[in-house]
Amino acid sequence: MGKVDFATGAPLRSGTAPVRPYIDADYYETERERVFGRCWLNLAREEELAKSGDYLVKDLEVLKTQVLLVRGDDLQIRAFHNVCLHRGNRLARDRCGNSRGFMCNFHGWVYDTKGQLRELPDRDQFPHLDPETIALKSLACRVWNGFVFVNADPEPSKSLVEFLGDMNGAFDGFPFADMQLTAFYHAEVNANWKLVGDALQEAYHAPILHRQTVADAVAGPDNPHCHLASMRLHGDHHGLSVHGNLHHQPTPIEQIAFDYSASPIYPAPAAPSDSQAPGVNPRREKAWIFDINVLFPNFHLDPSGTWYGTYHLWPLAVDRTRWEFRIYMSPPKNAGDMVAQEYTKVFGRFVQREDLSTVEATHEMLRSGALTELHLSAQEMPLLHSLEVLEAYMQKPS
Amino acid sequence: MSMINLPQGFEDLQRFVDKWSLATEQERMLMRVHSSMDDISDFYKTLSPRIEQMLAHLEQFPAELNALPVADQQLATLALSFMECSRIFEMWGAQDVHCANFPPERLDFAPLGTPA
Repeated sequence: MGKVDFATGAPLRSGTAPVRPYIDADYYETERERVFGRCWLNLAREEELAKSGDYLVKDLEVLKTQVLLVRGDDLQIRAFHNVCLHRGNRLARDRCGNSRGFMCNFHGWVYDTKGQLRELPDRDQFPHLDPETIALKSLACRVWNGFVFVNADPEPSKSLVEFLGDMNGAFDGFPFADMQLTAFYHAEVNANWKLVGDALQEAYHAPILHRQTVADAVAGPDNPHCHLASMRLHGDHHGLSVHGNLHHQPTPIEQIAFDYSASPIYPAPAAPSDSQAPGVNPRREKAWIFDINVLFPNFHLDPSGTWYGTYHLWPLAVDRTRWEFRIYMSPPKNAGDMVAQEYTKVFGRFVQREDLSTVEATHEMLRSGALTELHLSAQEMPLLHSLEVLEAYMQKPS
Repeated sequence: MSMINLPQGFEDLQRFVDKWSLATEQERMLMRVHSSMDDISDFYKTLSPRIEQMLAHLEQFPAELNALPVADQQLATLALSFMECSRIFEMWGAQDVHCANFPPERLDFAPLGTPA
């Protein structure tokens, strides 16, 4: 179990990880430019921009910008820096809404949903400017399985499809669009973004850190250290399948809530079938609870049989991260179902807080430089992989 | 005291309404962590044999709190508070996970960009 990388058949590797990438301010500055300035970043679900004119404003602190996502009359979603071309004022002021265009409230320049300048008050006084030829500064924007990605690189070296590589078809058939956002929690965490992400991409910690919550559901006598059911590396990204304990004993209300709900956290559907998305629990393990997919650099897409969760780790500084967690489930059929789903949200909050409870203390202790390397088990190979991918981006100069 | 009675058949739970029929998830979470174990234990032990009846009653309504008649809305928020409290009480007889390094108040429930 979990002895090989399922994608390549290569043995799992243990090893050491350098501490510097987690604490060094210069490293962080280069990371902003070479990693976040070049990679495809997930900003939204397309359901958030359902109709033409729907827009969202997203803070992208790591690139010191704000992104305006808007669905045009042609139904295409586009991304722009939220800045007026005239004097650089912030353009859209609300966080979301529906609009036929955007008017800057400084001098009244108006742009349409495709970013074209439509009104230029007192146009004669700009003889040097042809308003037909100027448009808002755009970011590359593509949608994959309903997830809206942007790339701030003026000339992305890879298309989104090339960037995702073998991840592309992995979720074909997964009912993302049939699920709805059930809960959204976020927090500012005083730790490097990679420390937060690392805590969410291995299961070795589950029997100890999660002993009050989910440990018995994932680690039983047949797998006391919660070895992964499988793991696969896909280019810059990777996926892991987390073991589920088939002998887990639910508490009385857990039993009622999960029997009742159409989207229980577990057990996963009794017989994972071949009609499921090929990359979700690809080995069709019966003892399975959910998958963790890390789409480099900062987006985790974690599907189970009947729900999925996402994490976004947004760097705010070398030692500060905005952690965002969302859970998506089948829309509750009625008010009773809605109450049953609440159990999952409460349970989820406990597990999230446990996961976040070590990262700040870790960052604080690493800061001293007393340690220069960390020791990772073969079960923590995803952390090594993420660091290797990161280092490859860091080595490529502008 | 609340002037609104719970729906017929749930009158015996009326004494919990003032404390536990709370409209938002965040209010229910904070009530849990700031309640005494006696209060939570009383709430859990009284409601756990009734929760399946509560869910069955709520099945007749859409999954939208504001769409429910006021009495049923009170029953629904009472049931939501029960879900809030039951997990950690059943497992550990406690109000909350031992997680002093990341207290519940640090989880933000508001949409992004909302002024604090």
